[in-house]
Amino acid sequence: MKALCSGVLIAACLAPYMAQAAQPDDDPDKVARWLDFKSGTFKDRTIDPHGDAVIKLDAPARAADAAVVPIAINAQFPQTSTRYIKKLYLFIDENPEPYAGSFEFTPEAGLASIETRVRVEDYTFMRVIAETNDGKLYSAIRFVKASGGCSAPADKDEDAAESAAGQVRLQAEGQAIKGKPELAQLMVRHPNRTGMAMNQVTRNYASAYFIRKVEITYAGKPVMTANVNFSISENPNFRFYFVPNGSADLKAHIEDTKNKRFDGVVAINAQSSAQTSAMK
Amino acid sequence: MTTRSLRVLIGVFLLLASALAHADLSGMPVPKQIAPGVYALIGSADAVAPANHGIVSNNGFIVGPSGVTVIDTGSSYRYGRAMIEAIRKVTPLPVQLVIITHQAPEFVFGASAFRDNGVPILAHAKAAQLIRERCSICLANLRKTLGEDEMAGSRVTVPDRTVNGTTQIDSGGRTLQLLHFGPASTPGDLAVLDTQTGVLFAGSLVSNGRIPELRNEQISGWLAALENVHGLELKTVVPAFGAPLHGDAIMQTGVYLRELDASVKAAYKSGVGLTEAMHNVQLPAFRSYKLYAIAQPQNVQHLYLQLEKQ
Repeated sequence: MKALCSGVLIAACLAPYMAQAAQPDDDPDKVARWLDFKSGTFKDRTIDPHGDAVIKLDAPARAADAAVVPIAINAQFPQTSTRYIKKLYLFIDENPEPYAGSFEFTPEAGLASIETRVRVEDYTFMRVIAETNDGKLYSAIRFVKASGGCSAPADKDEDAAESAAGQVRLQAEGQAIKGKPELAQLMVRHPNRTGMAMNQVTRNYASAYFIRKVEITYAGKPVMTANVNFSISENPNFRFYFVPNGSADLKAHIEDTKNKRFDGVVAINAQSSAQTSAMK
Repeated sequence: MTTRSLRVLIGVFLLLASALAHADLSGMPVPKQIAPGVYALIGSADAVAPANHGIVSNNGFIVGPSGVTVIDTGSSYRYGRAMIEAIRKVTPLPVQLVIITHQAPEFVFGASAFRDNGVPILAHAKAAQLIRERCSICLANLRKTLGEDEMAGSRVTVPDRTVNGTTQIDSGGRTLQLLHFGPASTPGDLAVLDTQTGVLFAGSLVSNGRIPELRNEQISGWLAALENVHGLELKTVVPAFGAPLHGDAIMQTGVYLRELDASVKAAYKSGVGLTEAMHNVQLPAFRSYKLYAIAQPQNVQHLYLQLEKQ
């Protein structure tokens, strides 16, 4: 009996809190902010909620630092000129601005997968909607429990972070092979400020300042275009694919909310698969 | 006696034992005397959850001829109150000092109960600074996890006494050494040595059977601190989490740190992405440790992001 009472008490005391925080067993189809966005963006189009054959979303169930939650959006089939993922929409229900942005892909991407790190407010559903070239929509959903970093180092100097902004590192992972989707990584030094965080030392709020656009091209052709906001973590990092076909430049063009432009370039010398196997 | 009746008898005995153990606050450990005048309260070492009322970390107290010194205070005001009650059952002597070994949510929030009684609270200056700057976030997290009722009365309690390095003090008539080995598991770690008995409260430098959560550490400093602790001739080491340890057993924490550090570096160098590293950097020897499923990927992420900044 004693155990039962204390159980009831716990439930009673948690009740006011539960009313406001999202829980993993909530119905993701009944979140008001999502429904608003869905009707505004996709109108009456149906979204296949079991999009596993098209797109998978990988995010930690429990994140130690809400400011840096790594996510991987994995396309389940290669991009071809006849069938490809055109666009991915990223939506984080409980964030102050739930629509984190979109990633557009061409068939030249080879694989419409993307990895990045996002800010997550509180316990939330996170969803990715994939739009294929035939206009169909598919979704993948994860529930993420994130909390503020208890022991993160004290906030650094915002001015210093801003003056260092714009350093770009663009690289391909391993030896590129002609015709095979090649993994590349873009890292941009940037505060990507939300404008909503209080500096724990100065007790001030610095204004929002973030990267809003990333355009990736290979041999002058578009591969991936991201239109994003401050939901992307500080020092934005993107891993994506492109298909090399000889010697050409992979380029990144970045624009932030102060209309500053930053560029990165890396020369890619793709080998034929026969050459690489001969090397081994 | 049949096997069945024996089972029933054992069951009744276990129920009685647990009822005694949970006399005041449900789940409150009974202070265990591990050396003359030295008591340890051993938490469950699990992750903080409503079922364990946040009673997961270890803490303790040392009874001297003229007073009591408390080491760490648990995760809530309620726990701090229960600790005061538990001390009263052992001795009528007053609590003269609370020492906070480091800044982490499971160790600091009971301090508010002692402050209500006017007891001074001591920590390393850097731990005190982190408590001032960060603990409101920890408190909000604990409220979210444990609920408002469990955390009622808990507040950020910034230590009012600080030390900057290793210091010897007299507290309650016992000579205590507050050992600081430089930035290690946190920037302001203290370990508390009772010189009379050779018992060390190691704070977050040592964990037993539980994956340490890396937040603000410096691994090389931490490994050096463990070597230093190992070099002291200690009777018993009370870790941050898990049962008290002896001898070489404290070095398990160092083995974990070394293996983690090496495997994250190897994954990073080979171009493995963060998400994949969080899935695939596994340390099978530590899989049975508490918190492995939660803390291992978080630790991998933490070290991976540090490598990326270099």
